[in-house]
Amino acid sequence: MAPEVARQLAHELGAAVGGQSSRFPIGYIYNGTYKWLARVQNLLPEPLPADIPGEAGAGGVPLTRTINDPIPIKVPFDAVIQGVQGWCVPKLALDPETGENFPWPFLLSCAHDFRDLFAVRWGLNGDIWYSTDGNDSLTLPASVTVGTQNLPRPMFWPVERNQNIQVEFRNIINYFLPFNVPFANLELAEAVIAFDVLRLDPA
Amino acid sequence: MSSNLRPPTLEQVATLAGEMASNPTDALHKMRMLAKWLGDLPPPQAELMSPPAFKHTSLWTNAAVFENVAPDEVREGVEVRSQRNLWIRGVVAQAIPLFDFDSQDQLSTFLEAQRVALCPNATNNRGLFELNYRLNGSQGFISQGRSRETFAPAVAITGDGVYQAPMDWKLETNDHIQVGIRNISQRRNSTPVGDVDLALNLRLVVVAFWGVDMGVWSPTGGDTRALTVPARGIG
Repeated sequence: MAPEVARQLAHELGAAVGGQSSRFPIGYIYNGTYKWLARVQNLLPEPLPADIPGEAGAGGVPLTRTINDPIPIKVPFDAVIQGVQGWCVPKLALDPETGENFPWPFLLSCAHDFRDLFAVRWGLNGDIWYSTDGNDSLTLPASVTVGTQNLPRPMFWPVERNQNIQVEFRNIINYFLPFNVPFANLELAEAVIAFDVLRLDPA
Repeated sequence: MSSNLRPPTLEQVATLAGEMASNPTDALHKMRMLAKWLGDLPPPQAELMSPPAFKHTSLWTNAAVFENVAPDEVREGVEVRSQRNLWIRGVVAQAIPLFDFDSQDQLSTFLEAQRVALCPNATNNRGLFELNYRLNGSQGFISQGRSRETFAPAVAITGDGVYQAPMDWKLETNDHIQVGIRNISQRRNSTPVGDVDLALNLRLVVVAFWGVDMGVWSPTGGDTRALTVPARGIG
């Protein structure tokens, strides 16, 4: 009985193997997951453009751009990026006269993991950026581009070995505040986005 | 050979069954192993990579951006062009209000009041505006059930990035989404938080549509490169 069942199974499975390549990527979903991080520390805000042309703030950086250099991630192996998450840590505000710490930077945020205090855009090989209005690429608040530490934004992004992912960050705390207040120049201790990566290995 | 860390492949199971068929003495002995390996086989590649398995994946963020919106101001007609064939799977939004204070003390006091007035579910400051959107200038998706369009609270019809308000739009290249918003921050002045004026300018509002690249998608089928993994990476 057992050899007969095995013969039948061998026949069926042989046909199935012949009908598809199982060399790749069967089994991949059970592989370990990698994390690729882009991180900046002590990130300062950039000057804001004028709300009214000609007033203070002229010459600032538009709200959906940044002049910060991109953080590169060199792709070490063929992979599928399955998710992206982000967070930042604001610093306390300091009163220069009294030396007193103000906690209000923590009250500004209304998004999980302080993702509305920094903006981000990410792209591939410097020629394609994935945040756009259809005409130009945009640096957008992380709250609308990435998920949280608990719940990454689900993605499906196949990348190849030796490609370069670039991530740009902008501190946007000063978006909440008028131009002329000195306390608007507040640092982020760190801002991070992390990609959840699935390694694709040929069998 | 299969291991505890890696499931067996189809070839390995077929080989084992072949060995059993050709060697009846071993067949009974290995039947338990064969049954286990069959149970451990991963689902077929197509099943893993097809849209049902990655139902909410997206790569593109197509956004409408509004700057400096005054209390009660309506801003309409901001267009987001679809630069490729996109499957829009969700929408998320964020408002950044301008807290126009000169001192940190004033700001701290206001932010405490603001916390009281904000709906706890209104993450991303979505409680400060309402919106609508349409496709190619004609179809109203936010309405009162008849032809007349209306605005709906952003809290109700958008997500905050932790979740996305689910959508299912298949856009073709050069399709346009038009987005309109209204600043409703002044409505919170009915909230009893003292005599603080809670009307705020919105320095930035972003309504972002999360989309899957559909390659050369067409209603009758076509290339779905963004949804399937070719034999090696994207080569």
